Amino acid sequence: MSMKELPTIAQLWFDLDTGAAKAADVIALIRENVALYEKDINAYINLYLDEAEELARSQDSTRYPAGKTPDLAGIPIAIKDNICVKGKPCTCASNILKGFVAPYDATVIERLNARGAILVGKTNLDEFAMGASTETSAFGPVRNPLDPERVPGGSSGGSAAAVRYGGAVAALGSDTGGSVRQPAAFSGLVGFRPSYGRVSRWGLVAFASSLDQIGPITRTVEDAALIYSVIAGPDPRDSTTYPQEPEEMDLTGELKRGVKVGIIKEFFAELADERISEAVQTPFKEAGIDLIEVSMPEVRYSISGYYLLAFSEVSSNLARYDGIRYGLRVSKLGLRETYSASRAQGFGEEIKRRILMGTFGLSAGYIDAYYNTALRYRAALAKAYEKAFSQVDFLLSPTAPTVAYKLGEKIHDPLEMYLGDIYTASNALAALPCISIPAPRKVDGLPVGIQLTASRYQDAKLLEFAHAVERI
Amino acid sequence: MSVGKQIVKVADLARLDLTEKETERFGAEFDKILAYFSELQEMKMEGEILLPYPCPRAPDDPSSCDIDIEGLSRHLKEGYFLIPPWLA
Repeated sequence: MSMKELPTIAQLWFDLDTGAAKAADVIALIRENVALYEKDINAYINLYLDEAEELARSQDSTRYPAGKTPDLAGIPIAIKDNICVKGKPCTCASNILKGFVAPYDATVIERLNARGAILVGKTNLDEFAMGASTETSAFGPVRNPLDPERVPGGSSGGSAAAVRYGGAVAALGSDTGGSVRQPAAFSGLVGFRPSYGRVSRWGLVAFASSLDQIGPITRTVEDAALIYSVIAGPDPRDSTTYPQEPEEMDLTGELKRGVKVGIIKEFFAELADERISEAVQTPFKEAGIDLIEVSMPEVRYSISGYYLLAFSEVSSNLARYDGIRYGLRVSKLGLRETYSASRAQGFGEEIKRRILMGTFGLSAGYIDAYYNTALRYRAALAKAYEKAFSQVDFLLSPTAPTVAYKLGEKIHDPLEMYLGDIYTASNALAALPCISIPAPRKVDGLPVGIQLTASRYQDAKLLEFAHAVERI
Repeated sequence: MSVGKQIVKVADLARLDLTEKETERFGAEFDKILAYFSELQEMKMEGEILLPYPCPRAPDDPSSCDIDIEGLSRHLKEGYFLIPPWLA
């Protein structure tokens, strides 16, 4: 038996619209792939295949006038398990949320449902989306379907693995400092992080609220654009959403003449693996696009700036898990003792590390040296990006400094793990839209991600360009 | 004093019980990680600490939240949310 290839969203929509395919048949293929791979890969925390099949059958029996089938009708999608789906457990891959059932739908889920998407299951992740390898999940690590000895990337590793092995046609992940883009890169998929504020965070369990964004993991840029156009838009329940609807896209696949693509000198100078640098730059050179070097010394500090802010927000956001309001409780004589014991048992190692670092960085006497300094850094970095975008339309970099590494290789050295976010933290800090697409050339037989970044709210232009680059 | 040595105090502030082993490990890691983060002090940065982008909308509107109150009603009594007793 081998993997049953699934169609892309665009293909499937066309086939469902013309009656050439049935949604229930696609669920049946997914069922076969799940039976074949899920036990080894561990992409899902909960699967809802029976409900999905029922919904698919009802979609199949609905007749839409030709061309009027809703954008995602009958499309099976996997959802990262830190996004709330009403009536379903939302674990965030943590023991502390044991037994928690989401009482409402996240805005992105409402939007997907309104366009007929089918939920296949909730995918595994690093605990509370904190990690870059999906090894910190309380439900066990996820393995990369391309090579089960290797990690799928993270924290949306379950979403990437599910799409990779044909367990869903597409997936939603969340990206705080690279958690959609890096697993997409490690899995040879497309991962898109919209501009901060383009997609509502209502119903996404908070990790670092000033950075978290929901984004799609798909097989093609076109599919990412389709999902983005459904989930993006203003939401009165998230005050950070941008007030305008996303602009129309024109996915012609043609490279516009005169497009200016920049590379950040400091990124490439510090890249250890020349082969990754080449895999990323070659397609552009072959297409006759000159790469314009821009200098941004600020990016050197992006790991420090990113993690200091993220840790601080973690310590504040995760204070709500006290053993009283949600999930697990370790009862002790005394409220404070109950808090401390429940948190000690409910949180995994990486969560504890981040809460402690954040608590320290926000504490009296240190807040200026750490948290406030990181805020100042973020403002300076955003200005540096603004300056770069006065010279170029897009910035090009690798998505990650390595290809997918082996399980256990980095998990015992937190700093080493954090440094893997070097290319994905700075544009997230500056609230910019960015996308990872697979490079045509592999390294050691494993996929390499090409990352493109655009200026803020230029999401549509970025997707149009990435779509053209994908075809080089 | 190294940060690692303050770990017990920080853990208390964070309401987190640590085992002896965890105290030792996190303490050692903190010194290493914070030494790396101190590079940020090298950058000359002026006063501004605002978010680098505007948050253009009015504050959240919780009235538009359609939480299923009926589904939660088994936890509701006289306008309060009931939680299980926490005393052992």
